[in-house]
Amino acid sequence: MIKRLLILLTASLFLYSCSTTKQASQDSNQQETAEQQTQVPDSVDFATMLEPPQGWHQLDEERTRFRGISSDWAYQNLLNKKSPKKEVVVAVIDGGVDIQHEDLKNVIWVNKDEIPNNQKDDDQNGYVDDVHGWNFIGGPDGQNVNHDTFELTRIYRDLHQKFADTDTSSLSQKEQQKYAYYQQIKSDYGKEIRELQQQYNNIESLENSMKEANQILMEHFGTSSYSYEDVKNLQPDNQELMFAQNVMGYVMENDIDSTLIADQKKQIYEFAKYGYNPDFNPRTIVGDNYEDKTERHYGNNDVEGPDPSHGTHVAGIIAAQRNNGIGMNGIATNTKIMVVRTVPNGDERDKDVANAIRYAVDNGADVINMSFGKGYSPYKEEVDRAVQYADEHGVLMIHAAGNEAQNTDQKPSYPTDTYGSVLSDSSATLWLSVGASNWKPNEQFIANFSNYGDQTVDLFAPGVDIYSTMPDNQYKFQEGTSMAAPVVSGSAALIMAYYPQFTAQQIRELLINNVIRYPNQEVIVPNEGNPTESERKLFPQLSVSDGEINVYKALQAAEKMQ
Amino acid sequence: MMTRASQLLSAILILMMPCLSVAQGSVTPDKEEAISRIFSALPVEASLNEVSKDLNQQFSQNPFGLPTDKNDQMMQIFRKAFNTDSLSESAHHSLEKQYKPAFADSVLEWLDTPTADSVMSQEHEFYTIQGMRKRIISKYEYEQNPPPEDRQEIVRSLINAQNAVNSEVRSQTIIFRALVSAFSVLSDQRSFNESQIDDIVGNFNSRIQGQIEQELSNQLLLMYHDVDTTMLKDYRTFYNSPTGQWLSDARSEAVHTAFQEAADRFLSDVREL
Repeated sequence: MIKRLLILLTASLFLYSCSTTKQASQDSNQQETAEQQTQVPDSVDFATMLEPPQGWHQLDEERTRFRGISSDWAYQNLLNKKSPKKEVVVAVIDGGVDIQHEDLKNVIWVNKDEIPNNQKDDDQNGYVDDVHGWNFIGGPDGQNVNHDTFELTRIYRDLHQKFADTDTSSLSQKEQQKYAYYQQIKSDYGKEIRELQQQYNNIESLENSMKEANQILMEHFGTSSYSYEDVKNLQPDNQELMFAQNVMGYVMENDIDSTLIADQKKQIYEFAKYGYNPDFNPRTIVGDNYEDKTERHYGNNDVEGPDPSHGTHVAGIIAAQRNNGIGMNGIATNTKIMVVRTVPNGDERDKDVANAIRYAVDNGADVINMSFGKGYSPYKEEVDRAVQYADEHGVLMIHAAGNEAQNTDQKPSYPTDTYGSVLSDSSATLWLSVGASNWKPNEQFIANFSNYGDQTVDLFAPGVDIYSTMPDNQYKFQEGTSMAAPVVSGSAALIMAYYPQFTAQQIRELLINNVIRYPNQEVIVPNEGNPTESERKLFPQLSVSDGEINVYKALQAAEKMQ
Repeated sequence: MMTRASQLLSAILILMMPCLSVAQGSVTPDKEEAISRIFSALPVEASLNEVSKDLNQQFSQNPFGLPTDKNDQMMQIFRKAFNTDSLSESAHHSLEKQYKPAFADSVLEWLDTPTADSVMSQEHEFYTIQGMRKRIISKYEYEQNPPPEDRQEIVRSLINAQNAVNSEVRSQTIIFRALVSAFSVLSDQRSFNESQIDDIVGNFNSRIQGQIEQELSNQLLLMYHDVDTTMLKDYRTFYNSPTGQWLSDARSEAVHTAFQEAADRFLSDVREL
């Protein structure tokens, strides 16, 4: 209960000194607008734009002011007289894909060596009836893992069982080290739970404030259909109205509505009930020998699973059928999506990730898209071996850098291209780690949630407000490095389709060497804390390549190289 | 009748494991031991710890918009003043001052009952990490399917029996006043005289009065989520008894004392910055 004290204190002080705040607030708005107007001279008013056009990520900046990857322009001007020469296969290791979606059904990979539903492993690859891919988190009886725990929870559970009641004085030196690790994990776990609780409370507070503010504004305007402009142009003459203006202004600018709040609450609830629940263990559904990390053949062929929303969005960004007059266009053409279901609502398991990578490689993937990640990887050597396997077989791996607003040079998001010491001290060569950029060409150019790293994030790609496919023939804007990675996967597939003579290494270099760098673009460095205290850096300082993917430039370079 | 050996065993158990339940009719513990047992049985320390951690977490977000170095200093002072050990020590001393042998003995006897055992274990769990996790689950599920009205009524009457609303208002007021005063000292932009602080605290009080009962009710519904209704009714009956009233008042006073002493330490250090 005490937890709302500081919120109320801030509110009380705010109300007590409202006239000063009002003036300061107006001044700051004017200053911000002036700065943005200076930065954006053309017709696009990014300062007041609340949502970008659908497909902005494929636009060309010179022509539209949107910092997309110029794929639309490339199709019009570089590829218009060419034909793709190869069918490219992109494996989407994710939570499943709606393979019946109107914009995807024609681009789903088909394993031609497998006769559907005959209960036989026709191609003898170890997976029965794997016509469109495989599901490593399903059971032989057709059941599926939907929710799973986070890796932190699994580590905490194992260590807690061992060390919770341990007499530390009797531990060997090696055990003491493990005990110290347990203490660290316990502390991390506790911190996560407290933050979860705080998030829930914050959402509740916002929800209550929204209701209160909406009521005030409805009474003021005499209607429930007031607009953003109405709210912004309001000249409050009392504290109540000022409160309502501030709250609803914030809510409208950030596109917050009751559905979003309900979704957020549900997600936190599910994190508490499943992700952070040490007593929850759905692995029995899969029926594998989980302790045997070298086991390869388990799961089922249901590549949709119970919640294919994330994977469907990812697949659409890469290869949704182009120019069919419905929905949206994927970036790549002549590209098929191989679905490898591996990621539950919770953290994917290292064993499944390793097997998913191997499956993709063995069944002909040219590119593997990995829009997932986690902060702990207890069986990293198994994943490293699979990554090395893909590397040796010339398969390009595209990994989302993660959404923790952290520097991955300091805190990795697994899997990584760097092998652990069990294998060698080297790294995978066919790996791209992708951060997310925004459609606003200003200091907000880096998505505020995106991980970054001058040594570990290879490049940035559009990852905010990306419009793509959703299950049941739906479409939606989504954001995340999960959306940025498939922008790169689609770009790689596009180049591969037209220039099949290039190796995966060359494709990687084409992408990396032809980024747009924006050397003078100062950006807010993503930070989990107070945004007003965030550090600012030049955009090139936040990634290995120093820049933002541009497939038009990469295709131009490919043309010259051949 | 207890044998001498069993009496001795009981005494040893009490001495060695103050949290363990003891059989009815065991030797009457002395004041210090009785207070320690009552203090351990009530989740006072855990609840104080939670307040401390919650406020610390919110300070880390710099809600007053202070310069970073000043906010860091304030957090450091806050952590020192509101650390769990100091809060707990203050509360323990306060409980000792309110010791009344007859009531204390009666409470100790009650603590051995299945009702007390069951309810207290839920109260303790509420403040653990797993308890915090389960709170989110129960809260969300109650939002989807509110608890039955009779359950809500029991909780409301328990809040009345414990005089919990007034106690909570007083706790929050103590801390709130300290925070406003600290802000006034530390902010370069705003400072308040005593009269203005009184106004702000007064506004705060009027704002929270109406909300506290509902919030307490929500909190207790989560806390006692897994306690069956019969036991909860027994628990309420205890708090309606003179012994229950003494325990409730003593606990409230202990918490207020802990907060007031911490607030005084905090403000004193802030003023020395």
